Amino acid sequence: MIKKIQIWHAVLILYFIVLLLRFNELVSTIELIFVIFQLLISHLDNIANIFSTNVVDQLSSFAIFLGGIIFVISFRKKIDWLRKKCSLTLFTSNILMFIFLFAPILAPYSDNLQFNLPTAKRLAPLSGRYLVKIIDERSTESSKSQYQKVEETLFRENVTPDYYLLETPISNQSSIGSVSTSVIFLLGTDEYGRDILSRIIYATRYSLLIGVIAIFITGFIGITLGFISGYFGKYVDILLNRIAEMFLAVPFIFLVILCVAFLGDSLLTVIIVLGVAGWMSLFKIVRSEVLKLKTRDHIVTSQMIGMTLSNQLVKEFLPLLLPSVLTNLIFQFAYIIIAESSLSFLGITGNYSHSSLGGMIQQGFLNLNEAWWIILFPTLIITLIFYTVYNYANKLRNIGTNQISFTTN
Amino acid sequence: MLGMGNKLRMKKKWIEILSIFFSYVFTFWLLISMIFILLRLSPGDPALKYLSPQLNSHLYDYVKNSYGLDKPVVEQYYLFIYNLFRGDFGISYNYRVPVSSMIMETAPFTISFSLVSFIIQVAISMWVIFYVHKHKGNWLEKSLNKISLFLYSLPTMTIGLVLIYIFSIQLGLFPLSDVHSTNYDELNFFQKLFDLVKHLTLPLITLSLPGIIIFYNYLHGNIEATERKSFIRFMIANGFDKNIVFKKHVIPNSISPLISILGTELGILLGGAVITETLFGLPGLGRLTVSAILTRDYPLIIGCVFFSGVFVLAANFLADLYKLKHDVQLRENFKNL
Amino acid sequence: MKVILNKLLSICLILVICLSCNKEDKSNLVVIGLENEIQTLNPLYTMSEVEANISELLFLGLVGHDWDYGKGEPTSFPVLASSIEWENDSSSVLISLRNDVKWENGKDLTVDDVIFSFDLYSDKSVQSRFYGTFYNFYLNKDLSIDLKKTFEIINSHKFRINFLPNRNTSYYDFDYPILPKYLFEKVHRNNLASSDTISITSGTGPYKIKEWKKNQYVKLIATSNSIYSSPTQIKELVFKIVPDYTSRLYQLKNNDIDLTEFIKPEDVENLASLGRFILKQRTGREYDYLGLRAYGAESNSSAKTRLFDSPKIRKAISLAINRESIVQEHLRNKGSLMSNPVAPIFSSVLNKDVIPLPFNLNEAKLILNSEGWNDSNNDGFLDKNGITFSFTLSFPSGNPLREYTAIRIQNNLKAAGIKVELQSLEPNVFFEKMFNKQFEAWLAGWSIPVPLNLKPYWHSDPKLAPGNISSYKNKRVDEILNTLDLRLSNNVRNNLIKEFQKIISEDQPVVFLFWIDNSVAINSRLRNVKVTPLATIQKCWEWEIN
Repeated sequence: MIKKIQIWHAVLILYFIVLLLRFNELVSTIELIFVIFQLLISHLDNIANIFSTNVVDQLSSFAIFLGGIIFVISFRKKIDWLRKKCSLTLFTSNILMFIFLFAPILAPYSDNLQFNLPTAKRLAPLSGRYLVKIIDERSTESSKSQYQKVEETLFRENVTPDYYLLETPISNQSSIGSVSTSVIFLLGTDEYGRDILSRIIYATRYSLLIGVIAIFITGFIGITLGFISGYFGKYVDILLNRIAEMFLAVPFIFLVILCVAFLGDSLLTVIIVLGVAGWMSLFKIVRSEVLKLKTRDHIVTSQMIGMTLSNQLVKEFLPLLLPSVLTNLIFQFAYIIIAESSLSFLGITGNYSHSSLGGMIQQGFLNLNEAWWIILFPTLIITLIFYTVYNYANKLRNIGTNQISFTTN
Repeated sequence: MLGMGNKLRMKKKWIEILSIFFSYVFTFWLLISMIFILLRLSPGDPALKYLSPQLNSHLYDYVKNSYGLDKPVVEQYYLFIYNLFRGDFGISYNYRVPVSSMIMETAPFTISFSLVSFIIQVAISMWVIFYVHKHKGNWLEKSLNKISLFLYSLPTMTIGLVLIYIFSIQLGLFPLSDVHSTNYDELNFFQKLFDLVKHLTLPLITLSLPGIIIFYNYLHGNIEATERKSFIRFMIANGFDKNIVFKKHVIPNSISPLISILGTELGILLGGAVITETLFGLPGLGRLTVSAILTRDYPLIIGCVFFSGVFVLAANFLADLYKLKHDVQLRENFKNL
Repeated sequence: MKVILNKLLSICLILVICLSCNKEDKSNLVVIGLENEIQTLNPLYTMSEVEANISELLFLGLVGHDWDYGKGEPTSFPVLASSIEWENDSSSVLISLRNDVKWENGKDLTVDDVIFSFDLYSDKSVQSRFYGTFYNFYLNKDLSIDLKKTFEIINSHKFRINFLPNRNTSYYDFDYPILPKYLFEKVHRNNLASSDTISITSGTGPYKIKEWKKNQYVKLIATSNSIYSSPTQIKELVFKIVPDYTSRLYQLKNNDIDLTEFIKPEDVENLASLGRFILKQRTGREYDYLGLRAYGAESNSSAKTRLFDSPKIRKAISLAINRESIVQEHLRNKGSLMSNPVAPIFSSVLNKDVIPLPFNLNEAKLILNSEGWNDSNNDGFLDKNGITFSFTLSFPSGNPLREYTAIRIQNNLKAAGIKVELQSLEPNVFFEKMFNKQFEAWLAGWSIPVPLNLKPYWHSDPKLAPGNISSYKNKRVDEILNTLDLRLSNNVRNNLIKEFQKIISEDQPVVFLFWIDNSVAINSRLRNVKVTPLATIQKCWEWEIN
């Protein structure tokens, strides 16, 4: 039975789960779109204020969500890939893909939302509480526009003094003028009263984002330098080889810490540093492959007919290099994600305004005695990412060349 | 004629070795210079702790002057290289102690710790391979492959944390941190040994586990490749004992490529040690380096990088020499270098 | 063969385990858990409080201090001095040294050692931490003490210190560990910092260094010839460095550590309920504040950056931050709200009329409105002349309390219509930028010196006050701070300090957040541990083990 599940089945199952769990969120999003359209017609001058990053994020996620569902259903017969057997790796990668693309829809709250501490501190997974919204007649509630109301229910970035989390619902609601809804913290809350599920979803997204951008940098540097080194040889080759050796002589993590400490720990720096620090192994692989390929007939021919260097690289070399390069890059991806979380674990980065997996693990370590769930879930996610990525790399390695790439770092 | 040939070959070999050696020296110079430049470009202030309302503000200036950071960069660089040649790494800003003595204090621990971990990695992965080879093709091998993949996916810190949580906090079997107890000096030899084992078991597992799996996968692949080679098949076809063939021919042939990754593996060990040392509060080079970086202790940073660089490059150099001796093909490659 | 070998091996293993059942004998050993590495114990260079406290166990000073809870001020008693006689106008003091103090080489402690020590402390080339802080002494041009004018040697055990006339002198002016001349004069003054003289000698203190492993521990062992040496004194003190808090806590619970500081407020109750620990609070030595950059007269700053120039705006921000909830929820009341930088522990000078601002969002909004900040474009944030009220709040990473406070401030101020961006920086970079005044708003703290010394924090002259990072300037405050350095009657002094508190609380140069208590946990087998606002690790020779 399980063996018959095809990829599109798996995707639809995930879609169904999301629909079931996050139905309210989806409805609110549609409402938001509606309100925005209204606003666009009435206040055209205020557009800049409407499109904050949050809104854009939410809307684009929603669009991809809708687009994805339509795509899968309508093309399931036409695209072979969708009818492939869904292995465990493919399933986990689907989950990761969902988290990455639909984070704003999946996450119940913003990753930095703090509930009032005495009630919300370190709640165990699956514990339910009541979220009370106090409606004060004197407050600005009535003056809030429809748009602001929708935005508030959707994002709840910061708890305003109007929101409270209580253990029991308020019995006589009319007296204070409040609305209470029951909420469940699926994975519990942390020390600061933040929802762990939301934090994990955003953290995973950032981790994956960091990994993807960083391996693009790694790939660019590694392939370019490897190609130059292998193609031109001589002094350029010697120099580049020495530089690669030099980078290899310092443990990866030292190098990253050094750079991050000195260049600042903004998200961009971390991405660049992680991307740059891992180019050496790719460089070596590309170089040796180019050395081998250089003498082949069709390459020599392309040289003779006067193709430009970049053309030669893209059209002649890259297709042949692709399997080994991809394998290496996927390994790099896993290492970068681990390195990123190690960095925030060591307290060197991870203090940017969003959550990070390593940072959560570190926080969990501090609360190990009181709350096991803070540390467990981010760890599981890291393991999941690594497992998926590593499986892919292994498959690719087996499919592609039979050369062994012992990734370095 | 033959003697002449030998001499010529010897001479050629020496030239090759020398050229490799000098290329490593060059790499090393690059490394040190890069760190130097990075340090001078970095923000942060090594004399920061002298900037306090409770201290005289002139003190900060004098201390900063005494670090020599106000000189032109070229002069600083010249002095730096000159001092390196004399074996003088300078004095740590934080500890007010010569950097070399700081490193001598932490290095023995790190080296022995990494070395023991390395031996454990090789030994255990070899043992598992023998075991798996005996029971080839059954469920054990398959499940081991799956488990190894899962274990490999665990980041170092997770392994450490899980071990600490289970064995130290819940069961109380092992101490949480440190290398040995406070009364270590008063113990007899066996007690000392036991004390060390007790303290270092968890850190060693943490540090070694990923390595064991890497080695396992790597050797596993190599062994399968070797077994496919014709001379092995030939021997088995001729009725040699399979186990003997495996031990005497397959294993040695599969291990030799390991030497080439020795340096890289050492780098991984030193890097992985950072997290292990932080978790278990061990006084190693990794923690020293991180704290030096965070407090901008320039001489100490350079000292630490210098040391780990020497460590890794020396291993690479030895690996190169080994290859030079044993692998003709690689020698051909060196001509391209 | 193989089987026999296996059996032999297992027997050996069992033997080893049997032999190694070691129960630590801790009847004469106390382990103190420290968070930060001890970098030096040389009294000349000890930068952190703990280092200074430990080094005072090795080298005694002329006087020691206690905290008088009744008066709310430190009291002093002679240590190496046998008698101290002040001149009536406090401009000089006659000190006799004890006759029974001997150095390790058997020679007496003499006036020579004392003068030599003062010379070292104030010498420019030594770069000691006290360099340039001898404000009440006759000084040379390079800020070293003018020995001829200052010290008047009467005999080898008796001398007089002459201070500058009309200064506010106290016992603290000659409270420095005295160093052995015969050892320290052998080392060139430029190299003193890196010499290891300190670790091979014993001073006049009741302890000396037995073993020192960097990044691991320092072992002190009792000496027999100190004036504080006694048979009941604990033989060995181990200062063990455990950087990780969780680990430190578990070691405390496991009895591996007997005493440690900076227990998290939430663990205090837990530890207290175990019954095996005595928990004490060190109050009033540390506070956190929200610094707001006021440019004042400084030119070329645009209106965008001149958000906090008006004291009213700063007051509004104070009112809008719910500090009480932070004290209750994060500090668990192991701290208190503050109104001004004079700690409540100095009860004799405390102005009780100055009370902390309450949390009052509506009033804050009213003040902001009256200053011209209104939400005219309905985006939820205040604006004025087309500029939104927004700023970046920087704070150092790795400090959970500050992280928490920053997020709370962000939330609170959002409710008041102020947009706050958070930026956390690595401590080294943060403090460098902070001292260079590169932040518009920042979250930091000060630990306050005893005796009370306000000048380095609030005087408008940046040379005198490196701690005045928000560039606060008030003529009357400057006047008060300058006068406080002079010789005054107690009454006048107290009134001046009270006036200072009133002014500073009205001006709110920074938003004073709260005083933070330092919770100390002590294993109940230890007795006689005195935790005062002055220090935790003090008078260790009086500690006893049950």
